[in-house]
Amino acid sequence: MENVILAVMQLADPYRAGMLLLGVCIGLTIGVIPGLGGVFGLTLLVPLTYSLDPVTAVALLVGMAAVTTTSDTIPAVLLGVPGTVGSAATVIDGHPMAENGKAAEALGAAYTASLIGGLFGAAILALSIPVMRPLVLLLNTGDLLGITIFGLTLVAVLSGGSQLKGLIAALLGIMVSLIGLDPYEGSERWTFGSLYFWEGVPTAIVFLGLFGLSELASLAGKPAISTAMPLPGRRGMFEGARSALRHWRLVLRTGGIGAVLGAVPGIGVTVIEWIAYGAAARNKGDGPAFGEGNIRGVIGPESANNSKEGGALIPTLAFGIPGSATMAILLGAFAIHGLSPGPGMLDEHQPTMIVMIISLALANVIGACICLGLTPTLARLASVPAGIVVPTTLVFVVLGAFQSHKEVLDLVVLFLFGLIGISFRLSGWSRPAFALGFVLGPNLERFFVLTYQISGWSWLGQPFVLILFALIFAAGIRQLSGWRKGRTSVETGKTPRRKDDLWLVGLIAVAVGGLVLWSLSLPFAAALLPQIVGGTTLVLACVLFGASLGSGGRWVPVNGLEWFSMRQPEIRFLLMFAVLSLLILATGHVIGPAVFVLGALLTSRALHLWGAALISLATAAISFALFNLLVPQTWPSPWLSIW
Amino acid sequence: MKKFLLALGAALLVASPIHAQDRITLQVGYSPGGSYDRVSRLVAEHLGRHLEGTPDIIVENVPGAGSLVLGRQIMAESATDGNRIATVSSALALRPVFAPDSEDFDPTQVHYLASMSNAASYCVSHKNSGIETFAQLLSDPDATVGATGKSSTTYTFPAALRSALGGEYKIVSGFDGGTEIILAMERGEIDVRCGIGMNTLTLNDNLSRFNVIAELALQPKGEIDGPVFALDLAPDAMTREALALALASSEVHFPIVAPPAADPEVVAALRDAFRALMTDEAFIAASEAGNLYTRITPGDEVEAMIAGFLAASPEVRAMARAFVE
Repeated sequence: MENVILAVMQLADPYRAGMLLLGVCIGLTIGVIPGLGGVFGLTLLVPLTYSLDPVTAVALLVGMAAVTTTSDTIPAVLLGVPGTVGSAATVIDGHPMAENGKAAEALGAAYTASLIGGLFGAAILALSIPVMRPLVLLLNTGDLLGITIFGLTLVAVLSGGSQLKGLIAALLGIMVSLIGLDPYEGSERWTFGSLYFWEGVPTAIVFLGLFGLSELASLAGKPAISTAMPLPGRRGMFEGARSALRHWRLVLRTGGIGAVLGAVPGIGVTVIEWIAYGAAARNKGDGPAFGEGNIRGVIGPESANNSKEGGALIPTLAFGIPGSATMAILLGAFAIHGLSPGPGMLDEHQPTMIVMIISLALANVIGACICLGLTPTLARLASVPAGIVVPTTLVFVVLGAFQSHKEVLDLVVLFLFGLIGISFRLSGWSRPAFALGFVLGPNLERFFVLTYQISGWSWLGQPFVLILFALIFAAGIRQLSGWRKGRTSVETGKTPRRKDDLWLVGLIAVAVGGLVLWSLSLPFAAALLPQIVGGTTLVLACVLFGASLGSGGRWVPVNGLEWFSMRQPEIRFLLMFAVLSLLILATGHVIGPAVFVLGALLTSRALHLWGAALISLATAAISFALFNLLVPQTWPSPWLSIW
Repeated sequence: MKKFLLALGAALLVASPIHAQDRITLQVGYSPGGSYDRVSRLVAEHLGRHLEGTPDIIVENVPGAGSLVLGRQIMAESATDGNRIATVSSALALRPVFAPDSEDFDPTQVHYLASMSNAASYCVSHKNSGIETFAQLLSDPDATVGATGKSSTTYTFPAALRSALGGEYKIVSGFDGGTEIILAMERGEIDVRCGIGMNTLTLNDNLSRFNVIAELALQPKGEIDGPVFALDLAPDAMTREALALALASSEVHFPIVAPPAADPEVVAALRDAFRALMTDEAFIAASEAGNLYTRITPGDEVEAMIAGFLAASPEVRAMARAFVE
């Protein structure tokens, strides 16, 4: 108790409290910008803490790291663009809510869930102090494999009525995730001879393309995000907060998922978020179908992605083993300040540890309050003309992707996954199922490879694994009965079965077939999973092809001109993307976006010259401040400067 | 309108990326948070004091392919002003030996400015593993050593030791990183980790949880009492030479390089700055406070050492390659 009082007094110092607030404000700002996340924020802040005392440094860093997953909800809900990789699942129901005029409600529910989840994570961290070390050691590699397999079964609830398509999408996600060096042999698998793919296709870019670009493309064809009459901001926000409180069981359950899985190094925020979404999607409650704006689809992932920070601190502090990339940097920063994680942390540094827990809790409260305060204003963004929102958002999506490696391939990959996202959305294929396969694929392979080397097949008899398999079995039975009742689910069967999207099945089959053939030249261990997954995908694609042909479904013959006119908004959007990419490559990351925004705003006549020029300048200033002043980076020389 | 657009253009040109002459970028071939990143940030804090004009040194992470992505970029850098330097994997210095067909990175072309540590690497066993000596590890077919990818030293070091010294232990590869191996050791799934450096070993309470069973270096360093010096166990001179080559990267930890195109005068100034860092009390104090074990080797000595490694006979090179496969 003495230490708690000491910690509270230390944090009550106005300077330290101010630094905590500063950390929260920086974290919130970074969370809003697509492609940036906690790692970016810590890279910015760690050098600034060298001259600070440990308590102030902890307040600043933990304050920042705790809230990026609170504000990343803003672009996810309003624009359909995940602010960080941790908010991709929030897009699925949050954005349709905004489209239906319920942006304030979605944001209110998200922040309330984030707040409760964050506090829950901090509480779990506080409660686990005495049992921290045994807790982290509880699960072995076999158990982690069991969790991964359990996670994959969630594809059933993420693809609902169109199970076959959902399954193919998930398998395709796994296939894409296997690009890179395989974990056992270290051989190059489908890397096209490029070092870029050695560590796989970058998750942030995949999600920006799959969700961000495809939603922006959809928005480009509309006058604004929402044409529905929205609830007045404040009322909608309170309505959302009430919804989150009404679903308190879900908030705590997904908060628990976040905290517990967050404490397991190697699981990762993307996996946690999709598992939480899957857990929420098991029961649609009294809302619309998942994927159409069900508030539970917002509450589940938002609670989990904030509670996971508390969980991730457990192995970081107990063993010095970071539970996430953010924690790895925090750990380095702790070392700079002489804080040594391990049993000593519980004794000699206990007051600092309590400061950490209180900072985490306070940051969540402050972050949620700031966001709630801004919600009524932010919700108005839903009625801003798409002609303004689309080009300015597109700039930050593209810059967010390009800053990850600063290679042309960043833009190519973003474009490809944008194309996949758009095709999936238009053809009723489940993007969540693809995302689930993509985030779980690497864990599936790595944990299997490790488990098999460590214990052969005996992991199948481990008690926790048996419990998970029993849960999978029970969920399977429940799902079967659900189908019989004709339940609908995420991003599915709204469209009647059509034969004209068979081109997509054909394309997938050709691509997967090519990859399987390519894998024949790989060593056995590197080829095993690709061939199993690829083979299954091909079989299922054939089944889907046959079923669709024989189903008597509606065949809509489309001639080229008609197709072109139907897809005009998407084609126009992709052209905008190409122009922006070329401008950035030709003139750099400051001038390129500014010229693009100016041109786009003037062409669309969304704004008069002064307004367009102001937004254009602001875009350039933000890009310059972020990437030249705050976190300076070496950008490739613009093509024009070479000429 | 015309005036406004001109002003706008001018403003944007002013705001365009500037490669400031009073700034040096130290790029790190790994993600933020790890040892390479921590050492580089420490260097960035202190190196500028020893350079003319006291430039700011900013750190930029360029992770990918075990720092080969950055290695390739540095090879292609055409600027001669030395405003871009890089921390790359120590293993890149031996690419001509272990990846002779690759032309990604030529250690004889880049300028080594310094290596930040020459500490030995070690093999450690968990105290609950029942393995207390290196001899026990070598003779136990059920013993397991954890490793990440097959090209990392967590794999190549134990693989070379097993081949050269006739070990029977099993290497479990596929872990995501060194910390995940340590976690598996805590759980009792893995017994041993090899290739662990002083920075990790002295961190937290690691020394109280592990037995340090073997020292992997070219000369005994005497940093820790007790472990057997692995090279002494080699059965003959050629095996010893090949094993030494396989372990050689441990001699040049955290090397910092300048591009091949860098002006010789700039390279000399940077090398002098690193030399000055060796006796810089503020740097040494910060290094100790941050639990970083730094022992700088000057750049010219690093290059001489690498030239020595690369001068090994074709037979020794082939044997070293066979050891790590």
